[in-house]
Amino acid sequence: MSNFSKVTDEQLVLLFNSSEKEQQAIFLEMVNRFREKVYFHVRRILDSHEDADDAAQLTFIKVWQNLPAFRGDSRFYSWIYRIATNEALNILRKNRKWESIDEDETSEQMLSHAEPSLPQTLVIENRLNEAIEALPKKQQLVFNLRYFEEFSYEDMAEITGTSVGALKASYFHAVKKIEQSLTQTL
Amino acid sequence: MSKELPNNQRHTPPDQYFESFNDRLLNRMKEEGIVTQPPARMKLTWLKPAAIAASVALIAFSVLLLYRPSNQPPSLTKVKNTSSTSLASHTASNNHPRAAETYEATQNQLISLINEDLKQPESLSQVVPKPTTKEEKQISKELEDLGLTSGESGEELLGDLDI
Repeated sequence: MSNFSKVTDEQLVLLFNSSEKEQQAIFLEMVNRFREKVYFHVRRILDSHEDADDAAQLTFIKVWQNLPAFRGDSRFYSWIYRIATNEALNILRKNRKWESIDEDETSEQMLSHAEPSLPQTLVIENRLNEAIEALPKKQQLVFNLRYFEEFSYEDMAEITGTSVGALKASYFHAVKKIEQSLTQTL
Repeated sequence: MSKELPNNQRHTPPDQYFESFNDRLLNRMKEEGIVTQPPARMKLTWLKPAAIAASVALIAFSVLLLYRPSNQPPSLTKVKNTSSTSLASHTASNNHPRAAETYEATQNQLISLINEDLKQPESLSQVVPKPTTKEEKQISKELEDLGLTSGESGEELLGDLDI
């Protein structure tokens, strides 16, 4: 077990910036705490595991590079999520997928086929995933942060750089579309 | 904090993905020059003994400089035969402050020793008592013949001997 396992995220940041000798060990403790959350967060934005892996690694590289400048204006985990979101969106742009992302984009890809052999709970989960993936990317991001990560709108505003009002509207539209999709397919 | 992901194979990374994540991340950071290697500890393994050896050599050299044989004060017998003038010149020729102090102390000590030495036979009257009898008068005369007076103090005698 790491020496820093009982230290809070904010204390880790302070230690990182004050102890040059132990920076690598402190950094690895941060990676241990956030690698899975970061991976699954970017994985929901990106289509492939390879892209998600790249985004997760780039996220922690940015964390390492920018930790000395982190002043605690936002909470540490929301800061990491913001970096992860940006890295994932950058990869999306590189893949030329971001061009088609629009707040008012309508979902035309909602799938309606179900595997009859799967248990009912898995069928519902698959429908939910398909409905989420059919959402515009920005609504996907907002829905994932709110529904799966259970972030507050204030935290989401820090992560996405969007106003709380716009986030509430995005989430409302996302939920409506998913409900509509599930009603039609189940 | 977060809900479990839906049980969906599409979002599940390959086996051992998270276990190897740190190593792959660190390797990438090293390859891109973001973190440096090897750690400083590797350099210290040979730097430490070298620094210790250099320090020991420096201390030994300093000790030799301070206490080398040429700087040691001459022995007492040797100094006894040396005049104060030569001592002073010897001291003056030595530029080291500690050596100068040592010589000064030695010189003072020697002067006081000589003075004590000179004062010890306070009067020859103790050694050569005044003659009272005929025989004594004879001795006194012999002393006078030798150029010595029975009543002279030791200092006067020593002065005559030009010590």
